[in-house]
Amino acid sequence: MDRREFLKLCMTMAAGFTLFGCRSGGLTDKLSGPALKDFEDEVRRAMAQMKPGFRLVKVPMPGEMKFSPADRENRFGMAIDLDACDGCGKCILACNQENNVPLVSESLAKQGRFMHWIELRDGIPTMCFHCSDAPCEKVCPTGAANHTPDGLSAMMYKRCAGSRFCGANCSVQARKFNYEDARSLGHAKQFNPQVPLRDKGVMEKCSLCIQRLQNDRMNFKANAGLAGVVGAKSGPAGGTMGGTMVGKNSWRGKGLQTACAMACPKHAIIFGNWLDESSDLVKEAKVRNLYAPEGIAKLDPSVVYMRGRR
Amino acid sequence: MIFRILLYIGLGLLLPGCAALGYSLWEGPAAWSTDVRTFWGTPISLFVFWIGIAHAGTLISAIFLALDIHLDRRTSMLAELTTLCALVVAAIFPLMHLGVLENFYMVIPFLDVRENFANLRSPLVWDFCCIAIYGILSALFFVIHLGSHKFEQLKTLRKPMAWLLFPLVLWVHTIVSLDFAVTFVPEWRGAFFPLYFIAGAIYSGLAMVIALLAAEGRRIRLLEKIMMAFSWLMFLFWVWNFALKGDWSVSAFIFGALLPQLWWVSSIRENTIGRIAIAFSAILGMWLERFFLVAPSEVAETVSNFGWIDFGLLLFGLGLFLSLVAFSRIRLRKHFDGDDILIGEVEVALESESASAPANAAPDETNSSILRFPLLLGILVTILYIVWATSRSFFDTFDLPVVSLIPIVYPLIALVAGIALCARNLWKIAPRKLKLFFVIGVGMIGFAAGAYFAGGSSAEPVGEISGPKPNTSDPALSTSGLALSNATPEALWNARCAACHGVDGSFNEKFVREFYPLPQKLSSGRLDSLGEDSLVNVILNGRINMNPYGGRISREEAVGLVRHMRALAGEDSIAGANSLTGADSLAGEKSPAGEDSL
Amino acid sequence: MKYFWSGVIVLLFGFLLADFLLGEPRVATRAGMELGSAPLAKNSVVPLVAFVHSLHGDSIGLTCVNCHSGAKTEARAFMPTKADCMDCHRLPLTEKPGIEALDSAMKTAPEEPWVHKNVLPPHVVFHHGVHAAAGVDCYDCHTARPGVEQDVYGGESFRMQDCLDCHRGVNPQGKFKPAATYCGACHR
Repeated sequence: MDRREFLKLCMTMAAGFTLFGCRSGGLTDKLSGPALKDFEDEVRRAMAQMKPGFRLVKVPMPGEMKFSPADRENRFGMAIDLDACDGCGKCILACNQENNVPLVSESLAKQGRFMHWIELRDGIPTMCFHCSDAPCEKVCPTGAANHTPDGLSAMMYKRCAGSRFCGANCSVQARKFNYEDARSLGHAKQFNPQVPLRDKGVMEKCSLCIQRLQNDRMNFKANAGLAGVVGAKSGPAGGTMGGTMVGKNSWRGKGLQTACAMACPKHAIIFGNWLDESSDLVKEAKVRNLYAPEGIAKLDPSVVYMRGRR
Repeated sequence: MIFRILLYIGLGLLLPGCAALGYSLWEGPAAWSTDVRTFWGTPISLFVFWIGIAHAGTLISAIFLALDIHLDRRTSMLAELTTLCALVVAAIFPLMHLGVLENFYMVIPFLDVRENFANLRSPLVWDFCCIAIYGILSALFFVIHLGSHKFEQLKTLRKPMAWLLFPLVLWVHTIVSLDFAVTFVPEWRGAFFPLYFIAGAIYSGLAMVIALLAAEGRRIRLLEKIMMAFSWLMFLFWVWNFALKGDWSVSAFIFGALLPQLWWVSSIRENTIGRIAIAFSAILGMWLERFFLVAPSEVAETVSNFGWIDFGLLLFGLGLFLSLVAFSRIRLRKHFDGDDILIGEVEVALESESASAPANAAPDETNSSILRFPLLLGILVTILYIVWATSRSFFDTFDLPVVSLIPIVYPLIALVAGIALCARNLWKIAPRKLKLFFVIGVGMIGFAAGAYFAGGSSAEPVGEISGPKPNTSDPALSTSGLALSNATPEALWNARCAACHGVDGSFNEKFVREFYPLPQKLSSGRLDSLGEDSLVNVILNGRINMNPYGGRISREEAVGLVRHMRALAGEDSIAGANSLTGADSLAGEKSPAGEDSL
Repeated sequence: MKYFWSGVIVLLFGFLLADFLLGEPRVATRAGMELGSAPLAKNSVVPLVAFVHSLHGDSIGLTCVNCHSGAKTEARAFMPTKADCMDCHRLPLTEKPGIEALDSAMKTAPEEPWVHKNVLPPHVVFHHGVHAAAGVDCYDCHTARPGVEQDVYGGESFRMQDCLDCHRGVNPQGKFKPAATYCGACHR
């Protein structure tokens, strides 16, 4: 075999290996998922490497959002009572389990790049503040980061191209980037089948437990619509369309809780509807001083801190 | 000869560079050093750097041509080549830095198949459009320059093209600077950013061209003087930046502003090596400046994270650029110096024309009249695009403000105008083979786009494929409706009971008549006589022909069902007083089969 | 040297074979994309007696919800269990020949005779009940496709643009009003 032929053979083999390598599976077996204890350890570790906090400034109570298709009845958000919060970090673990937040490998953990949607910063739980004028959404080239009418800054993982511009433009660094393929590394565990696992290369962040809101809204509408059909037999209530319902029968997300709010032993995190006067959130926020990090205070955040009585 | 050496150097750098690129593509953004705060890092700094270099060519060639500053053909061709090659290099970095590479098409501001739109408020989208258009027009400009050697009619196109490109160069780099300037990162904010970026771009681009010219053994004093002017300009910007924000990257300052001042020493200036060293110092300084700009966190941290992959990416950019430039320079040798005329033909022609004053006025007139129609067309198309883009609601949650379309207005105009300007003339002179190739290519792209927009072929095979049994421990995947958690009693009745008992409580005629014994018609009197408890028991445990539903319906649901039965009976009690007998007689008359089964 | 090309071919074949044996099919990433190989209902009664939708439909006054009990109220429509079938099939329902075969098939059928793998990608939310409440009939989305046996429902090729068209109010005869089209309505 002369040199030329040898080179040809080498190149063919290289091409073959390249083609073969393009296929997933077979050679890379999926590792068994991590245990709950690993997640607990990681939360403890993240709390040990606590990041510095933000300067908080006073903000008014969140009201209706400014942009045009905003919902008149619902704007979901949270208030975190800093007087009650003792920084135990239980919310982090609860969030991880609710939203299948993966672990990170050692190299990233050393840099403090955990995937946790809630971080303790200076002892204060910090997550996405769901600004209604969200800077991350403005710069997202594909529109993967966008707002729902009911006040959530949502993230559409499948539309994300991973340009990380949103992360660069978030002044509270609430966004987490999937540097690793958590699934194939065995870092992900699907605690909650309702929430998809994220692919490598997409951004993620606190979703305000959008899955709970969606499920509740859907179930509510399915029943409300049925009631409408029954009513149509006798009365004038014929509106059976699945669009926005008006009036008393509309969905206000009553009784819903985010995972972190449920997990908080001090009930320091209150989830609710800012536009529902009867919600615990509004009742509590009315008598407290509200704060938000300085960088986003002007962007009309939906998640605020409470400290001191008015 | 020197370009052959450069080619080998470039290829030599490309090898480790490709390894780094491949590894980064495989590993994703974790491969290179990213700033903890902004998630970007080396590729973006390299992108800004190379897009800056890419401004040299069009600046020198187009702006000089437009402003009637004479430049010889060899220099301007080399500068244009620099632009094209640097653009290729620059385009790779933002693509490879994506987390999900296959989603990149969502950035293009044209409807995708779901009629969703790229977020045109994002500077990245503006960036993408501007650079793509800049690349297309620069390639056209270069092709025209190449062809004008041979074909007379292309020569008249050069100046109008130069006029189109002149604002575009400035526009594009302004947009690149907006990537940073519109964000909330304090180190990136500043109204002076566009000017700052343009100055830096021109500076580094000039330095690159000067280095390449020096490699060719030539020098253009004019370019060197402009470069020195820009080094002072950069110095001013750095001081301004420092005064505003307190940022000061020493290394960038030393390499970018201080060392180039050695040009004033005549022994260095007159020495080829010295000139190359000065140019390289400027290039290095500009790269350092971009690097520290993109990663605004602590300098020490950024530097310590700078690893082999980052270095490899740097080499990749340099290697690809060098090999592209050298390769094309060697291949296009005869166009550069085929007839040994150093002073470009266009300029010679201009000079000879300028001897007679009336002849000088004529080309200008033709220039403007040539440009008139394409420009109008461009403006028209752009207006149409804006109207179309703003008239649709893409995502429910944002309206597209017209303001956010402004950054792509001029590039769109320039694109349409440039293509309209060149298409006819290029088509005339293109060789047949190329035309055929082009038509087939356009056809194929059109077909692919058409198939894509039509949703592709939807003829998936459907058959009874025995899939693996799903994970039954997952409640979301459980297949049987053991519990209808969400159902009202009425819905439950419709789902579970109506098959025999009917939606309205009278039996389901079609089914029951033929096959099953007749269930009792609901009547309030009968329901009352049985009582709620016994009815619930019947539902849960079954009775003669009634199946037990104990495993499928909870006791509470059964109670709800009984109440619903009462409601149904109540509804009928007035209107269908005789319904029981009526139904009986109906069944008796119509279905002998029913009697059989009874 | 004459062995060179045969060597190349053997090598290529080897790669393809290894790929076939070890490789996984491409993992679908978007709604509807994986339906090419979507597992339909695995019908364990099929080997003996095929299930025929048309026999169980309007002719005997049944609607979808009588067997797919979640279709009008729940997120998922559900497949019937054996118990659901036996509600009616306890007694002989017809005198047609072949009923014995059906009876014996029913006796040996497992508790969950139909297995329906959820073909909805995990990032997509679809709620049957909401659509039913909005007046959407089962038949508006689930119809037999041309060239396919009339009896196969489910496993249709649903694409996001189909959903979006309808939600934007573009549907035959304008039957439905526009509904929510913001991303967070159907994606998580």
